[in-house]
Amino acid sequence: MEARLHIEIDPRADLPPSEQLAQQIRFAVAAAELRPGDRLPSVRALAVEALVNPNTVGKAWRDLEREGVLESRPGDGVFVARGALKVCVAARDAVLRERVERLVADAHSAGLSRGDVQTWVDEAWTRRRGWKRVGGL
Amino acid sequence: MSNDLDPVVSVKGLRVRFGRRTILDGLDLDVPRGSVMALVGRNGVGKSTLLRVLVGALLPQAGAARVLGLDPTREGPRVRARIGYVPDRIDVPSWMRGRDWLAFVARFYPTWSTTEQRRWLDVLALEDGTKVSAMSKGARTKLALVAALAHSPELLLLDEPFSGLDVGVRHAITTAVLTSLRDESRSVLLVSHSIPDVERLADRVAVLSEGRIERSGELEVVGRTERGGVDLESTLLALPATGGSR
Repeated sequence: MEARLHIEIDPRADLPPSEQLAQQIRFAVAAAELRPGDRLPSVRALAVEALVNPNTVGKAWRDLEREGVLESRPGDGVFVARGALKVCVAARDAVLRERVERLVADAHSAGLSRGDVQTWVDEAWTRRRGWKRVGGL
Repeated sequence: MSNDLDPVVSVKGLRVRFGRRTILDGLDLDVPRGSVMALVGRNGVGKSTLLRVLVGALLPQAGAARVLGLDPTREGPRVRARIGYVPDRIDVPSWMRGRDWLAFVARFYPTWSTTEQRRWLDVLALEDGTKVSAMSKGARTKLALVAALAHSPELLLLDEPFSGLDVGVRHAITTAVLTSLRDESRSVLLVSHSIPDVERLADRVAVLSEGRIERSGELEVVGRTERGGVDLESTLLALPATGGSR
């Protein structure tokens, strides 16, 4: 089955557009929104949908193939690869844990307590409840 | 005969002077086939001048330009039949309706297709029964883009296609240009000050400064920030301001 994707690229974000795209695919696989065997839209179709140059999509696809997230079957298309879930969960967790590390480091050097940060995390979590999950980042 | 691997635009040592003022001063540029190259730089630096040389509307004082393997100074009509050009100022007789203008332009292109014309009118959501005098700037730009695409050109030259347009129209134009890239070997050379649009549309960028290409390459390399993202604006701000006569 062909995957429905909602990709949003912000050219000004801290990651280059091709990496933002790759990241959103990794997160979608990690969340099981994309499953091994799912076919991805063609490079040019996705370029129009995400409003980015096709070569940007092509670069993301190549990076993801190298990581074992996607596999291209010549003449057939590009698919989510068989061991993609494990790779993507690890990649997603690494990204998010890195952000937590940074947050804790900032809070720590600002003299905040563990309890302060935990309260904020709980509050943020509560506000998020009921929000529709969209995209990966 | 041109080859698939040849660049669609190849410019060497181009010099253009207006009176005593040198605009282009030994400019070299290659646009690889299949790429979307953005030509950026400060105002008055000669970006539109370069496009006018490429369509054969302006004779350079020195240097050579090849467009699709042809010399635009001697084979202008043959070049223009195979490219689409949206100039920075669009002069369309105001009494015409959109479709009258397209019918008029169609006669210049052996490869014009009314099916393609309809397709691009749809993609751009443009009503072609409206008189040009009643069209907004955005609608006129869309009309010029339909006229530039309906003959399935190998190369699209866009001169400030986003200038003065709201985000909805810019979005529609970006979508149309990206859709047109589905035709595998199409290439685009785009002049624009609208950096966010360039950052979406282009995969390569050439920075024009002081009459030459100051640097060129992949957008994600030329515009890279310390944090790893893309910010072409900062790259441009680092350039020297254009002086008057030199």
